[in-house]
Amino acid sequence: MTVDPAGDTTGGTPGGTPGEPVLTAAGLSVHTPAARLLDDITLTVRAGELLAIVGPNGAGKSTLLAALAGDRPAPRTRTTGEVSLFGRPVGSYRPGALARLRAVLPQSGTPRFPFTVEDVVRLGRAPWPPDRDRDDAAVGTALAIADVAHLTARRCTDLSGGEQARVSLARVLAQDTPVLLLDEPTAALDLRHTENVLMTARRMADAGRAVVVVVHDLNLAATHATTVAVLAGGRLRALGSPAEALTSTILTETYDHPVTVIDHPLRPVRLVLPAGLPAGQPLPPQSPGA
Amino acid sequence: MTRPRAEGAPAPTPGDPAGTDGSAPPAVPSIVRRRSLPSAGGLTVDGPRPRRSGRGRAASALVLLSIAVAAAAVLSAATGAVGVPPLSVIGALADHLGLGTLGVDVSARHDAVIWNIRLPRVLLGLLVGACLGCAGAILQGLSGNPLADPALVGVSGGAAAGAAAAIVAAPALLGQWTVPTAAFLGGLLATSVVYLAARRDGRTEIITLMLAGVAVGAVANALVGLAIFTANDQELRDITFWSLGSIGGATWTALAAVAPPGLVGLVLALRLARPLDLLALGEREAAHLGLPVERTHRQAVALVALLTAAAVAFTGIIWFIGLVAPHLVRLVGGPRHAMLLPASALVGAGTVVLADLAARTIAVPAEVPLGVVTALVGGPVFVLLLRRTRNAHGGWA
Repeated sequence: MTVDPAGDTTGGTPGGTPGEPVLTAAGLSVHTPAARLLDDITLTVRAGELLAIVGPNGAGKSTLLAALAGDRPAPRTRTTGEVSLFGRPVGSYRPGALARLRAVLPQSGTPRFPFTVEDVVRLGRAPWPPDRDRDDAAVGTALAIADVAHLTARRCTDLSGGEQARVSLARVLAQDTPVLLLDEPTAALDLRHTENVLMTARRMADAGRAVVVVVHDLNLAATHATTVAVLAGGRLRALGSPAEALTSTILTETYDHPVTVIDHPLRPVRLVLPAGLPAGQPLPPQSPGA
Repeated sequence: MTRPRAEGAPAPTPGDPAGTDGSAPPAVPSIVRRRSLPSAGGLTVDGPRPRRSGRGRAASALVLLSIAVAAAAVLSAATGAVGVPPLSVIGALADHLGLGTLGVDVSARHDAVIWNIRLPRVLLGLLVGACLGCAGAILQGLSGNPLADPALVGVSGGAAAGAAAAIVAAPALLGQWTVPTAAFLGGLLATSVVYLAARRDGRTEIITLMLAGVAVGAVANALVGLAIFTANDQELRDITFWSLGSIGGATWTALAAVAPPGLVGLVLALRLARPLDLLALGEREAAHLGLPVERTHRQAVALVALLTAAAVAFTGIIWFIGLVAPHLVRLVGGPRHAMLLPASALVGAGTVVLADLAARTIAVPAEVPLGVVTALVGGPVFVLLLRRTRNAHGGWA
């Protein structure tokens, strides 16, 4: 299908043809005067793909996601290279048109006034021209998927951290865009909601959307993603299927810690474990910097 | 399970081995299928449709509020040295609007008092209060800070400096228009300076904007001090009374001068309702939802400056309306700006009219400065509001 991203304001575009490149970074680098946050990143996200971005703290995961989202660069940073969305530089879209193409779940954030949960999720419809039926349907579905439908009348400032995270997710889902960018959506969530978020992301991808998710839990990446990008020190250390990218060698080197990868006992996926020490061996004394 | 629904936890079905992982079927564990979380494919699943709760209620609340404000206006117009029955107020008003007196007997004297003295004063009070209340709501929404007041972007200070300078330097330059014009321009100029000082690399950080506002306010304050230093006794009196606020000087001409910027500002402000709702999510989030954040900042600051400068030009500084009115509304009607902006304008309008009524009746035949009344009543009320809000929301988050 041909997407005319800027012109389409009718909504309901689940995504492109599976396999069609949707979001690409070409030679993307981001510098501050003191450091190189991203270094020559080139990757393509296709419709139908769930790309998990993993890596140690400070590897540049959120910087990469922000660049893919077309966020204004932070002050005193310099960006080179290009990010394209549906074949056009992401910076060339008007804000409204961009918001109908990609939704972003940032790492945290509580509204600054006590809006109700329903008000917040309805704001996810802001990029679209008002359409009562479509808006109600999108909001209702998003509330249900994020499992916050029972909270609609609550003030979002009164919720727990995990509930707030799910409300933000519902807002992003209500935006109903072909591209979803989620920055650590599971950071505050319990086991069941973590699984729910990743399965939701995977279903979105299976339905033809392109989904990029930053996660810390390597097993979430291993069990749900179609593609994994391993970032280390701002560079793309590995990019490929979970089996290709999440190997013992790559992870041990990336995280500077021994890592073992084993087969899942029930499913045809891999599991990632910190290797620790052989049985019976005492812990080494803690080094001052560790 | 002690908290079965609160966390949305699944109730275990008898016979389902939820806890025995080893016997669960491969691929998709049964616990996942059994749960009622809908599939998310293309958002095609019809979820439960939320009711659009509160929209009708908000509209009727605004209507009720309007009626209350109108009643306060009639009461104020009826009260004074010459008592006029409230019905006569309505009759006189209708008569001047070409509707006849609606069968009410209005004496010529009453008509003159209402039309020439009271009505311009009440209408100016309504307009000024609406402008201040609305400006406060915009600024609090823009900054995400429930303590923000239009004074914070320098507009009141600039207006005061403009007025003081005009009183001392060239009181006769434009006749009776000198001080209002100088105040209006001073307010706009100060806000422009604040905005430009806070702007860097094509963006304005709101916190920088507020801090620049404090700095410009201090400079403006110093300019007022300088004017006081060089003023003679009469000028000193004028400056002091200007800074205490009064709508005693209201005339139809003054109203005609304030109305265009005030009304235009109020109408334009309503268009900020959705952008301010989005900004409450955070600037990044608002941008992700398609809001041109910088443009919104610019429009909001310009509107605050326009509304406040228009409001204070003829009346001087009236404290606390812009701070308290939005608070009061948020407490009752919630934070949605589609409700908050018009309701804050109405509450501000009603408050100024009632405060002015008090100002000119509690010390007859003298008039207490309006700003004294609003601050005297507004201060304690604000403290109560703060405590209630903080208790209700468990902090400022």
